[in-house]
Amino acid sequence: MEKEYKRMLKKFFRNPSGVLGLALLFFFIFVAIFAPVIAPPQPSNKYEPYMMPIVTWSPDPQPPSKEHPFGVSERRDIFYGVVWGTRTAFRIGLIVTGVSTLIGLFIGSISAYYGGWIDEILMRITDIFLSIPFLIAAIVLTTLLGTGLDKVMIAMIVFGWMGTARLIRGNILQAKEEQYVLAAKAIGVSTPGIIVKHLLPNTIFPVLIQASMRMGSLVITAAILSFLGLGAPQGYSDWGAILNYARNWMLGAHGEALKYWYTIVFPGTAMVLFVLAWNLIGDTLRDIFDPRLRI
Amino acid sequence: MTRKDEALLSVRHLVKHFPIRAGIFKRIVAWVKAVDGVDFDIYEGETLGLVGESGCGKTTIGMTLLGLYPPTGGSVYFNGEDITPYLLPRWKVRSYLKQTYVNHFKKLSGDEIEKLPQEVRRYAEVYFNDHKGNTESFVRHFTENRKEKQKAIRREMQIVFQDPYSSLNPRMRIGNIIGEAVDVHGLASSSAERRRMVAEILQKVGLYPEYAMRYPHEFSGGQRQRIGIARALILNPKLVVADEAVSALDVSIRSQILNLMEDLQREFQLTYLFISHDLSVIKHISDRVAVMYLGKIVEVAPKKKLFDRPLHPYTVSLMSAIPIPDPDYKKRRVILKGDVPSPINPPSGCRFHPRCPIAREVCSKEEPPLKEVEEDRKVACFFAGEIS
Repeated sequence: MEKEYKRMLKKFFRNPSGVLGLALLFFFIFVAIFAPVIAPPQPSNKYEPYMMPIVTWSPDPQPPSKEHPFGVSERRDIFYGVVWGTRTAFRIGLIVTGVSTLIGLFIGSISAYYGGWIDEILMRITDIFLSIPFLIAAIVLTTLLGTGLDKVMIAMIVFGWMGTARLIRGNILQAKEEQYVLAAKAIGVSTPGIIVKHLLPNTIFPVLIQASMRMGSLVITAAILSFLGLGAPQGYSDWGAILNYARNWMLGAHGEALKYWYTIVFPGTAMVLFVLAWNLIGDTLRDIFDPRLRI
Repeated sequence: MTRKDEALLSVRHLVKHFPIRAGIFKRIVAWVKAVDGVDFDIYEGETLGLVGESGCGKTTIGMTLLGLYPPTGGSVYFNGEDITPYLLPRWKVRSYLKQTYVNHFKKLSGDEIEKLPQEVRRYAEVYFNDHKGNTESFVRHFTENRKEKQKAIRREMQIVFQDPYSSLNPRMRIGNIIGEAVDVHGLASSSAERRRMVAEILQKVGLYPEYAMRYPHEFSGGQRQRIGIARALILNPKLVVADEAVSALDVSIRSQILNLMEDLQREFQLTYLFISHDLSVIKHISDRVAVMYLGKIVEVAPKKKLFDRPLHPYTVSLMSAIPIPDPDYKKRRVILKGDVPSPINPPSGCRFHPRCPIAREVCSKEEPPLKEVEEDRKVACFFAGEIS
């Protein structure tokens, strides 16, 4: 197995897009970890470092300058927001992907292993969740729960596990006919033991790939919800929230369409690169684990 | 070699039907009658060869005996004890016990009960003496400590699978594949003891103890099959079901594995149910042979008798298909016409009659019972021995 891992690592590093993705990811991890150094919070909001400081009283955005390298939008420093927003992005991505993947794994593997009525019921529930348009569901849910980043995350978890459940179900349906599963049953291994020790290790890789791809797109979804005003509170460092500030300035000034470009470009670029990093990594993992899918 | 007085494993009228479902409501539209009323005994220390063509239900029998498929009907006795309740899902145990024992006993008088087969009579005693005819308490006798009893059965009966490539989990080390059984049954008190047990069994099957740290893909087919045997034997079972255990191996490795299995049989006093479609393998390893056709056993006999003078026309045709490596030898071959009928809709009467060279009218109407025609030899044919 060590050999196999080594071989996979080698393959990964021979793939330029994988290396690029990993480099981007490491860059974001670096920014997230060293956020207090890169953009030190002012003494006044030391206890709430995620709140973007108000740097001016003028309501108009201000272009990039020495003190505010990414400019100012809605009185707040964009650079500070983008740097600290990296942490928010990771938090949303990791928690939502982690929890929804676990839920999906649980439901999918139970469904596939037991089959019959249990499968039927669980899969119909999955279908119901799939049939609800995500944005509408998220809006309704946040209306019920109230706005806030945690509520947005709950909405994304509640409506984000179905893909994993279906994927793992299909894989386990295939793997459960293998003789090593029968052998484990003959030995007397319990059902959870068979699922965790025998079925999941042989079926989980596509799920991990899917999860890494989703990690990026979830950040976009969170940004959409923030943009709609459902997400982070006023002034919270979140890429979507910064874009939300740009709403009034998107069209530029009279005769100068691109006057306020910095209100969109910096947070937008951060988001695009973040999504790109995860997608490149996911693509590379998929190529390594399943060469048949390469187009 | 065989002890005729008490069978280690007795199978009585074992039935396994698989439902075919269709439509949105998953309605059952038909049943595949994979095993349809099979009786046989395996005596301690012997090897019973189970032979038949693909799709006749050989493997299903093996899987059902181990509880990998729940039986549809019939009973399995291990050491005289009815283990069927532990093979069935819990909710079926009650109706099984009622059908097999209670309803039966209630109708019979004392004399009639005396005449019942031994294995059933034993439970009549349990029912009337230990439980004073109380059905609930009798059912509880079988549902109490269910998990422990199931585990105990697993320790006594193990299986070696056909495909050495799919029978080992590719993501586990050999030591863990073999040692898993030790963990599940709590046989080792420390990890050092577990390692020692794994090393010992690896040596017994002719592998090096160092292999415990490797992964399955590092081994050849023959070595993998040895690992599969080690996994079955570490629990020290009495009965091992070898389900086509050598069919996937090439001929030179096959004989090595067969010899290994014979050596292990002597060393551990194993009893084998050896399932194979390969007559030469069966001839090599079996003491007695059971021949299956379309979910039924058509003939059971000691190996020598069966190969020297087959009595059932199906056995005759099988035997005549064995190639004899002598170009001058001309023999009469019994070539069967047509295909094996579908097990969904088997022929009426004797299942072999549409292809049988000596079939008569009665064969399509009545089903011939498997009855003793000579000493320890049973045949299910009205005209046994008419061609040979």
